[in-house]
Amino acid sequence: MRMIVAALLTTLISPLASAGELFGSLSDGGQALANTKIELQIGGKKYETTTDAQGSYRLFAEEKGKGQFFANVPPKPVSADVFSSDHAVRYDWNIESRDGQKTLKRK
Amino acid sequence: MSSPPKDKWDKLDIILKPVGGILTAVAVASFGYLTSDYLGKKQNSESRIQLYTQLMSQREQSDSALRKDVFTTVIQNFLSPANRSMDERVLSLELLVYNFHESLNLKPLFLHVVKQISASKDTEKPEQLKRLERVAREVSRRQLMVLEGVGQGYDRTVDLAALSKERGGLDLEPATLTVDGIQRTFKMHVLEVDTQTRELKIRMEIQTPNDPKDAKKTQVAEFWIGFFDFPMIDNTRLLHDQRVSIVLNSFDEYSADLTITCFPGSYASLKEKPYFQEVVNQLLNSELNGKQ
Repeated sequence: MRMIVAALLTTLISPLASAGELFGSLSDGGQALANTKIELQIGGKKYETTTDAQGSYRLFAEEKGKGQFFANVPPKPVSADVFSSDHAVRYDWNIESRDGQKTLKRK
Repeated sequence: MSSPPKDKWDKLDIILKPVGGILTAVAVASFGYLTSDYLGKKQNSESRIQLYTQLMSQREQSDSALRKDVFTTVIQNFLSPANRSMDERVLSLELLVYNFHESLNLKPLFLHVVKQISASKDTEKPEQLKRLERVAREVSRRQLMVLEGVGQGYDRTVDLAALSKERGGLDLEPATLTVDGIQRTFKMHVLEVDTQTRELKIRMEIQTPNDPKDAKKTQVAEFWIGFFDFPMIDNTRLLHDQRVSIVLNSFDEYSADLTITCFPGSYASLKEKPYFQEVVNQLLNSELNGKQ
């Protein structure tokens, strides 16, 4: 009985561990952006985190589908479309400046 | 008859003559010692290399023999499938993939087993299909880690809702990758999606702007990509002994996530041989670089 419960828990928990996970890095002109606030808006909910010293981040969303990713950089936040999936999805971003406008570009 | 008195140059000559002899002897002895020392070291180094090569070759031979035995045993499960349960077939495929994913294209076997599972009435059908997808994704990820270390890559996500609305397919944002000094621009167009098999039909356009031979030409490749396409095995050959491959990382009702990697051909599967002309060119280039 214990084995059946353990097997059921493993089956249920293992997909949840990476479901809706977005991870990756944030950089500006190739330089890692540390301690930058980032936000994911999906299905009417907001998920926030901050990049670490290497510019890396991890976000977990309960919802699947299309969302909006924001990086809080001066003078104003930049954003791009993202997708949350059954499996963890890597989004490595670089902030590029064009005509005085900053944009998020996926590496 | 008395000899003229010796001046200081004559005295110096008397002293230096034997010294010169001694110096010559020392120089000859030193030269002999250095030469034999150099030759000894070289011989030592060569014998070490020979021993290393011999050990490696023996290890390779025994490894190949073991792999051959494993392969023959496991492949029998597919060739004579009588009374084999679906679970056993999935296990056999897992064994094959984990042990031979760098040398064999196992996609046909994956598709065959998926077809058999789909047709079966086994109650564990969904779990078996999940196991196959899990092993395929894991192997792709492992191969990708190696290839991204030696090459360059980028990720793109396909919006499946947008793809269903676009008649001519969906364009993904192009990217420029540089591997071993060769710069190429990769453009991907997603043409079709098969939600049943979870595969995408992709047209890949490659431009090499700095190559005088290829600058004006756009190379085009069109193919289906799914979870069972492993990057080391299933890739597109480029000039200068390089490869490009696409990996399907995830696929659900909303999106499909892809990684595109360009890498040196030496990291492609063991079944692929480099073009003879490219090997000759590489040898000639390395010889020229050595001379310079």
